[in-house]
Amino acid sequence: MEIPPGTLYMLILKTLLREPLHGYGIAQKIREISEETLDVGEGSLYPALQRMLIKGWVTAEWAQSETGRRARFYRLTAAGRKQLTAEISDFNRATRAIYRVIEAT
Amino acid sequence: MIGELYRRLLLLLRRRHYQRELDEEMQFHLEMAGAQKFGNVTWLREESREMWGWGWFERLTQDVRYGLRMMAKTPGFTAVAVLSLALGIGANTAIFSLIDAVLLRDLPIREPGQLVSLSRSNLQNPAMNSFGYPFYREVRDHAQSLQGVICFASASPSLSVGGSSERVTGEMVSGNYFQALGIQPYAGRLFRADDEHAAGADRVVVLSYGFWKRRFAANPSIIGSIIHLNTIPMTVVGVSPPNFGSLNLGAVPDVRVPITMQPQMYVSDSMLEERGDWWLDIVGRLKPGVSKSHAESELTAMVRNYLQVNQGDKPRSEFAQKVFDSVRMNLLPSGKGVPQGKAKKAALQLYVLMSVVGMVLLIACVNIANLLLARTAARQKEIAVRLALGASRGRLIRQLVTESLLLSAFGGLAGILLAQGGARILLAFLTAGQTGITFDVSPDGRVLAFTLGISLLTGLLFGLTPALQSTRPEVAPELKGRSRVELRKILVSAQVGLSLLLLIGAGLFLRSLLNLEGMDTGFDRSSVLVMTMDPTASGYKPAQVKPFYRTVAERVAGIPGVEATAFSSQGLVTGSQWGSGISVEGYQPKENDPGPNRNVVGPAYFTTLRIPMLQGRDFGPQDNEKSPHVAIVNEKFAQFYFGNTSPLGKKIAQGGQKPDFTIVGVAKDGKYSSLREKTPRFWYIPYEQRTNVQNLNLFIRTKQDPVQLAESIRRVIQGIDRNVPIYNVKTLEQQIDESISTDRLLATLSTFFSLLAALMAAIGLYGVMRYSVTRRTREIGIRMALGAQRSTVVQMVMREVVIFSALGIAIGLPTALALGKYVGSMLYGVKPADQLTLFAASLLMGVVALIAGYLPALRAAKVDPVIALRWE
Repeated sequence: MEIPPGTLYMLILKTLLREPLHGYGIAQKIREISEETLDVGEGSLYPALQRMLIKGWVTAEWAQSETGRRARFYRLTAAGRKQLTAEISDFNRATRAIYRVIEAT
Repeated sequence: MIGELYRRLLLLLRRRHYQRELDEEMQFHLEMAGAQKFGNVTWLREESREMWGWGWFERLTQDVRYGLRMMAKTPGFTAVAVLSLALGIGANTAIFSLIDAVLLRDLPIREPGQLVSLSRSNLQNPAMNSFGYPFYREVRDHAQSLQGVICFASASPSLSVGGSSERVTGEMVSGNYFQALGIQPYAGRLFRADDEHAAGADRVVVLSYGFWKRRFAANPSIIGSIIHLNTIPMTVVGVSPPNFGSLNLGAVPDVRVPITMQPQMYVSDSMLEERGDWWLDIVGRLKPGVSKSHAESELTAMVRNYLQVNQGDKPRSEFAQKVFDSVRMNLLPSGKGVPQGKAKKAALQLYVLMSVVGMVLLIACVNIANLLLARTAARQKEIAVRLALGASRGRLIRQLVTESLLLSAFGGLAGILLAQGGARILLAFLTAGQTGITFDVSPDGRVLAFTLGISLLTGLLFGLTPALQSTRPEVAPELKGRSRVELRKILVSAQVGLSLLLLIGAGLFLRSLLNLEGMDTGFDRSSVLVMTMDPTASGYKPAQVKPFYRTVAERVAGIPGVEATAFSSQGLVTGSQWGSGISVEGYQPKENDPGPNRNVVGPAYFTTLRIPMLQGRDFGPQDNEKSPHVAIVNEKFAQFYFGNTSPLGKKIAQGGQKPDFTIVGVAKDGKYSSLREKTPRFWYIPYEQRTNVQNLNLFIRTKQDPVQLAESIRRVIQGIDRNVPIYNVKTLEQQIDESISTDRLLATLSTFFSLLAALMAAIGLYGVMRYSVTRRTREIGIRMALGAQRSTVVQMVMREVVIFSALGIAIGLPTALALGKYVGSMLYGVKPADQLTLFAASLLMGVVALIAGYLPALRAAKVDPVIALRWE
């Protein structure tokens, strides 16, 4: 299933919270944790990463990957953590509100 | 925020590097995903790059590069377009920079917006800006609505430093002048209120920066030293800043002295306590919160009160009372210079020139639009292919417009360079003959913004229509071609109309220039040298002045090559005039009659200038201080006061005096103060019979080129006394030429630009017709195969040419008539609706249009039906 609109940055930031990852790793991780429910297409992943680099939420550095090949690893910055907290709290408020609306009788 | 900007900029500057990183990252992903599908790599890369936010920039550079390639590929077209734009934009920028300098720029003073100058009006005269010193003091000390009230008057004293003398320009100003305007000294100090202390007692001078640099090589030690002005020793206290010229825009006084030095500057009695002398300008600041109308009513009351005190108990005539009741004070905004200044009078000319060059630019735009239409037609295939391949219409339009903007940008750049020189030349024309006028016409931000603005505007103007036209989708190509030709024909008609308008304007200015140049001035201007001298400014006592002039006349007459000499107090065609009241034996002067003008001249004045005497005789050496007073009048004077009886032997004098000058001659009417004047009543008296003689002009008729004699004449006069400066040395012809330099400028420029416009219109017309003929080759071929004569084909093409030149003329003529009233006041001896000019201009435009159309018509007639039918 495609990622719900507006949550992509939050998901990427969250996956990077524990450790730096490369693009492919991020996509894999999201699929894994969501038990194959959420599928991040590279068509939205890489533009999003470029934008996050510009925003200063992540930094990138080249390092050796698990296969021994060079890959670009993304690391969360302080600004990125702040952004993540803000996005999660916004998301929570929004979901609670949506619940109230759809559960209402 | 800053960090983000920095990162974006980094992405732009090192975009190759980042591009490679992105590529590698994609590659890595592809390998990791293995068999799994990975979308369109190129698309993904583009999408990711789009996030950098530089897409527009990259497209722009791409468009610019493409545009430059197109320009290089068609060098002929590019040259014509850039050149005509450079001329158009350059001319517009040059004239705008003059308008900016003269009319738009604020003076470099504190709060220029508050500054107002005083001007009074009554039913006889709408604007009088001269006041008396006692009135100035009243306004300064008692006006509640004004603050920082200052006064100034011009003067041209003789400066002597170390034995040699020269005439300089000067201003007398109130002590608070600089402080009230908020002007800081460049060096030393400027005046203080206590420098305006008592008549003749305030012997301090402030030099202008330019004069200090020019005359004293910017030597700082001059400050504190003594210089002599009109032989009075005065201390130089400081230098005014370089950016400040004068409130009287364009004037740059070399020296400034306190207003209390008036008797010394004018070498006359003190006017400082004279309530009836009107000689200085008053300028002040409106107090914050006070309305202009409130201040005007306060000052109207003050000036009426002042006039009433002058009048005393004497009763006024009914008319004089009416005049008095109509007195009003007006406050004129003066933050851009006092409105009555010389330079401000060029405003109308500047606006006319601005419209002329504006129209030329418009025609140039239309022309380029036309050429572009033809060119995009040739590129139709390319555009169609790109549209078919999915390029958006907006993208194509943007690219075509970018090409146009490139052209106009090049034109604008070249235009700025042209304008630099152009503005200076124009300025020289506009201020010819007025000494001491300088302007800063170097382009400021406003001028550059103007040029940028019109370059952009012209680029859009000529680029947008062809771009929209050629990319219009889904219309049948045949239809599209036709509508483009129709549009081009309308454009050509408009060009013809505009060009005609300019030709008519040029015709009118040319005719009035010819009228001015060819007029009979009543005197012989050839081989006459003029110069001015003033011994009173070098300390001559009244009793010494006339002997000095006598010696000069005698010595100069002895120089080989000099035919005759004569002195005169008034120059010829210099704009100055000397009104005088008149008393004529047995004649009661009418009220509200300005009276005749007068001149004080030396012996042989009429002989020297070859002014014919109709009756009686010229002045001669026998008319001296002891002999009976004599006068000479002009025809108009004789006719006005004496009708058909002979004026010889009649007695006259200046207004209010007993008539004791006997008329001994009647001179032919001529021109006196300007070529445009209506012949005034005029009378002359000998300077020998005046008690107070100051500066005089010396007219010298020579047997050879007067310019060659100028130096030896100057040496001879300097040999008599080198302390008497000689200035304004010119030939009489030169002086007259300078007086009509503005007319010459208008005629020259409008002729040049109108011919340019007509040429551009002709090129436009030729281009359109040629294109239309080429497109119709097949049709023409069929017609000829069916038996049409070559002459029929020519007629067919020419019919169209005639139709849209006639259309253009039909638009141009009424427009010219409607606009005529704006230039009426600048013409001489010709009406704006002058039939000959209208006819000649239309004829010229028509002939040019027909020739331009005839060439393609001939081409059409040469079409070979056999080849034409195979065409396509």
